This record gives sequence, structure tokens and C-alpha cells, in this order.
Amino acid sequence: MKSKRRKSFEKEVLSHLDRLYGYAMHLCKNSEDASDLIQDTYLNALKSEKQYSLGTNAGAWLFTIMRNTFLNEIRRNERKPIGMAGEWIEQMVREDVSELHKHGPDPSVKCLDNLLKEDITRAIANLPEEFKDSIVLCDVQGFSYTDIASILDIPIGTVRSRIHRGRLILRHLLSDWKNVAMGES
Amino acid sequence: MTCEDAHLHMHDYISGELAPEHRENLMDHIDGCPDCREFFRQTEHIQQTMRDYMQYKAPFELQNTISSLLTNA
Repeated sequence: MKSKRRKSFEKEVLSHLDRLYGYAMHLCKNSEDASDLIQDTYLNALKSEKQYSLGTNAGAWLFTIMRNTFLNEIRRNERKPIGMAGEWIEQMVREDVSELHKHGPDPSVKCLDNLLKEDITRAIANLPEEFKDSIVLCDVQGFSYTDIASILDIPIGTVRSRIHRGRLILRHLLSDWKNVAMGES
Repeated sequence: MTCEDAHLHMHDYISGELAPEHRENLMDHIDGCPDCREFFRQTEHIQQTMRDYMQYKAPFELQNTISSLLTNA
């Protein structure tokens, strides 16, 4: 016979399955690995069940477990995380912000109104890894800065900065591609 | 509020993190500054589009696997 606590635990963690799957797809890039990661995440969550207080923040707790599980898997396979930001990205962001501050956005850039799913997918894929995680957790998964800091194990100020910069890089990538597609550059 | 301050606050607003005491000043600035208003609209639009397009539903088979895993643990 299951305890009331156990039933509540199962209900709480199961309610985050779709969100976890979305983040697993973002991390793994394919459904097979994403499904494996989800199963490992739930197994690890069961092992750590006693550390979770019912009715608190199952989402952030599970996302933290999933990210740690993913990183451990990478270390085990001796793969390196890909896409660390190069100097050129930092430079691009600096120029972009400076341009915005000097002139504001170009009001004629209407191309950003007609974004397709593939535009968004490609832009996120091209974001450097450290910006990508914060952007996906905030803009797609809807986590607070505090939760993201806990999931990624970084200070809140860093989360905030990465989200601001990440959005500028996304905007820059999207407007460049859309302008090229429209023959404007 | 300067345009630079507005840009910083705008991102926090879009993230749902801007403190209530800054919201009115930000909205006043956006109302009076066409460049910031357009930047705000575009940034908000990109975020909303991203949220709409990037939602996933776990496959049925995976839902069953996880349900069984929890039930039998």
C-alpha cells in the first residue's frame, strides 16, 4: 500500500514530464537520447525522493536533476560541451548594444514579424551554449531567474546577463538571416 | 529613464522579473520613445514565438514508461 506522500510525489513529478521532455530534446537533439535522459532523470529523482519537500518547486528540482544527469553522462563519455562563446560573439554583442543605444532598432526591420519554426530552431541552435541554456529555461520553460540560477548552479546576476545578451544575439541572428532571405543584404 | 535603462528593464519585464516600482517608468518611456517601443515589441514577439514553437509533448510510450517506473518503484 502506497503512502499518501508517495502518491503526491508521483503526481507532482509526473506533471512536469512534457516540460522535461522539451528540455531533454534541447539538450540531446534527438528523441531517443531525450527519452533515455528522461528515464535516468526520474530514476535519480526516485533515489533522491526524501530530499524533496512536497508542494515546493518540483519543476526546478527535476530540471536540476536532469541537467546534472546530462552533464554526468557527458563526462562519462568524455565529450566536451559544444559551442562555447568565442570572442567574436562578445564583440558582436558589444557592437549590437552600442548600435542600439546610438540609433535604436531599425524600424524598417519588419522581417522579425514573420518568424517560422525553423528560424527559431536554427537561431537557438546557433546560440553559444552558456546563453542557450538560460534562454531556453527562461523564454521557453518560463522559469524565474532564481530557479534558473539553481538549475544551472550560477549566480542570479549571471543568469540575468546571459538572458539579456542571449536575446540580443538571437535578434541579431534572426534579423541577419531574414534580411538575407529577403535580399536586403 | 534613459534608453539604456529602458533596455535593461525591458528584458527583466519580459522575463516577468521587473520590480513593480519600475514598471510605470518603463511603460512611460516606451510610450514616448518610438525606437525603444519597436525594440520592445520585437523582443517580446521573438520570445512569444519561441515559447509557442518550442513546446513539446512527451511521446505516449515514454509517458507509459515513466508512469510504470513511478508506480513500480
